[in-house]
Amino acid sequence: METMLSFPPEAPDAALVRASLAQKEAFAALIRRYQERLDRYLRRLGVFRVEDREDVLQNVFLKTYRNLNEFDEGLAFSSWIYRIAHNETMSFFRARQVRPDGHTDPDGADLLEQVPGVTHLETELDRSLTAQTLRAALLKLDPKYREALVLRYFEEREYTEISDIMQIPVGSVGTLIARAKKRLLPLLSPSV
Amino acid sequence: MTSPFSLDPSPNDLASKVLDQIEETRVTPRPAWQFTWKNRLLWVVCVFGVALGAAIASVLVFSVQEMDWDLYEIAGSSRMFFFRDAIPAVWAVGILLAGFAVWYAIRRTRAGYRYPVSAIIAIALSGFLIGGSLLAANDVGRALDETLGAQLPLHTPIRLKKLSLWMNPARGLIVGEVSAVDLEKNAFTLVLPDGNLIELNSTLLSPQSKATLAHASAVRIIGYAERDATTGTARFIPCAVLPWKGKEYPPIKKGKALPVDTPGPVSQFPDAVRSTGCKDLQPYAILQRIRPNH
Repeated sequence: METMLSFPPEAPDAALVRASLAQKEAFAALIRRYQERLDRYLRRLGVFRVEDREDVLQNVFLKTYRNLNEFDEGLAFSSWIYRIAHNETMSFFRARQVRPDGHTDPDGADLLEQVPGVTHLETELDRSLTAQTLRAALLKLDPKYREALVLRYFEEREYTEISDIMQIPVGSVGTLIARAKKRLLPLLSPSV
Repeated sequence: MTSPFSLDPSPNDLASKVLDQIEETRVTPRPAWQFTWKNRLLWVVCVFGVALGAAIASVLVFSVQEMDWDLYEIAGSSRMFFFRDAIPAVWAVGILLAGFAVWYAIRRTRAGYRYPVSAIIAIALSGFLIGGSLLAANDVGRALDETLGAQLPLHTPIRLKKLSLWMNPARGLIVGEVSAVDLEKNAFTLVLPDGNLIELNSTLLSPQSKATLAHASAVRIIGYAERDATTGTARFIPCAVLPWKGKEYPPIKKGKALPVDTPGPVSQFPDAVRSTGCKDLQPYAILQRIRPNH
């Protein structure tokens, strides 16, 4: 593993996929490109322990490598790898038979920063809302609703991308997000 | 600082760990043909599901075509039970399974998740209906109902269902094939489904019923039984004749002619349908209401 491969920063994902198929060492560039983003995504979904995230991420990249030939260039690679991360995270939750609890979540402030971007929610939220309130409310949501909100407002994904990641029809994405917001709002009220 | 676009040789780096794991476990990318063929196989399952659904739909279309939907009351059925009898449950379950196969396969194709369930159901049902109608028009529905359907448990081919509905002497209904008609003598001969012959009197028949006798081969007869006062033998008196509906008529074993007034199916008539005339006969009264010219 002494081989050093380098790629220009603007190299498209599809080119890196093709290079990885030819030489596995090239896959490191894809891992580098997505490692941080996926790590943040997993944390937002509720995988809070660093060790757990590392395990899930390793599985994500191994599965990605194993299925590189399945990548359809008509689809954004980022959507495809996020889909694998989504599936792995759901499997992780199922295997643990737990819902995330947020006790060790360091990302509360990060979440709160994103709230102004949520036009509808912004008007509804009390200004004294703390990061912990939002975090706790998100964690009470069903994983599919939490993921829809995370992808839309924290990962800033388009509906078509969310459709590709969650593998649901585009029309269902809007419905899912609307329902997620509806369920989130009561959880944000101080009495809850 | 390591460039994010080059391989970092650091052993603690995630990329290195993943590559090491790939090396140790000898993981290789699955060949492209596996994904291609999996996708193709799913589409084949989908096409097969539509074909299966269309074949089943052809039986349903055939069954519906074979029934007289306005005459269910005469056969002593309700609209709901008539529908249940016409739509074989086993085929209805089959069409649901075919629909499930289509939905399952499409959802698992490469881009199948993009199609809403409602669109998949609409496409599948359209395929079933269009394909089923085309197959039924080419007699596939009848052939399936007769051959494959006869092998299935809990299924009775539609011709036998119709026979059980219309060969109901207790209600004053019999079916048969007209073998001879002599309207001058007001007599005609009928071959019953069991192969026996019976001679009947056409005196009480309307011109419409007589025309049916002259032109149709298989007929349904509404009538009543009466006992001859002098000889004590039972006779069946026809009140109306309807042509047999549909392509299929139950196979008749040809038998020798029976003398008039001998006990045959007539003896199966209970007192309830014994009447002094057609007017009091319930199925006939219903027919008069539905089709007054009979």
